[in-house]
Amino acid sequence: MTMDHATARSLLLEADPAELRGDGASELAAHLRDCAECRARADGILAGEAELDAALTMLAAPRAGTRVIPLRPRASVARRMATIAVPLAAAAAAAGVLLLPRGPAPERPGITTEKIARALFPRQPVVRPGTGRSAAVMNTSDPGVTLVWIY
Amino acid sequence: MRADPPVAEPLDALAARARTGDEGAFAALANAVRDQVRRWALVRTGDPDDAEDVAQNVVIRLHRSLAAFEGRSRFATWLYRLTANAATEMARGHARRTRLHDAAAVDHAGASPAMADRIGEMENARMAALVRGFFAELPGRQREVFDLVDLQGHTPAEAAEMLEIEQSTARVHLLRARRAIRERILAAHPTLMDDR
Repeated sequence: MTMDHATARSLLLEADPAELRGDGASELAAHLRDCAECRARADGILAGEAELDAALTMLAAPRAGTRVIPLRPRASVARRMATIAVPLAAAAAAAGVLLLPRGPAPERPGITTEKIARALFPRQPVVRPGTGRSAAVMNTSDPGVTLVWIY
Repeated sequence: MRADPPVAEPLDALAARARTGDEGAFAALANAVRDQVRRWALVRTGDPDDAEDVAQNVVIRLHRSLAAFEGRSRFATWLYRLTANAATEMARGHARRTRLHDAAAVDHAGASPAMADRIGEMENARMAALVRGFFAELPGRQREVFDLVDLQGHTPAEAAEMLEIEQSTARVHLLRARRAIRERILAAHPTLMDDR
């Protein structure tokens, strides 16, 4: 063992994960293969980083209810949506609307708003407006479209 | 920790098919990238709700912009930039609203209320402390490089390309982030800190 513990422990703080696992031909990797105490420290770091990774994955996962998209009236998607629910869209435009498909609707060719919405909301969404805001959920004459008005 | 980057070759192929108007490929692509985009957005924005909004916007942008993807970079790189732009625009929107309303009501120094809620729900206190430190102590760019390289398995060169920074800069961010995070991890394990 040529590397001393103090040097090894200092290098552990910036080493690549593979070195921490004792892989490769570097002096640090060789030291970790031979020194149980420094190896325990490296394993602790790797375990902590795995915990951080798991925590970030957990935080990035959506909650049980699906949030809604506040669409801006000027967006081209909003314009296309407005053609689906004309009477209500104008009133809702000032607040920002989301049109959600519900129930089976006739398939239209190409990549449509409905297909995007389906990709966004594989399950039935739950409307949960942000703090200080309210939401109204309205059925439309089109059984494939529900209007959510967030204000 | 994953050994392989989560955005791999099949996504490039899926993107190529979606570009031709294959709606099934687009739906598959949108579903395949959402978790990844949410993760990137979370690390960038530090807010789970914002991350979800960014992910939804990115899927819509993906639909609008896919035709412009020429395949000169990897799809993951292009998608990351789409995500970064969406997150930046969202941050600008927040800043505008904050100026319009009461700036004092928002505490930028601490975790967002949504983030604080989600961290509070974690049963593992050590994990919660790690995440809190990750967002509170690391500058955004360090967080991004560390997440991309050490947690998601991209190479530093790939991370530099995704973030549009020099490789040497990415390396500096990575080493600083590692040091900060690892010191925190070791501090949480007093038995590992015993000197011989």
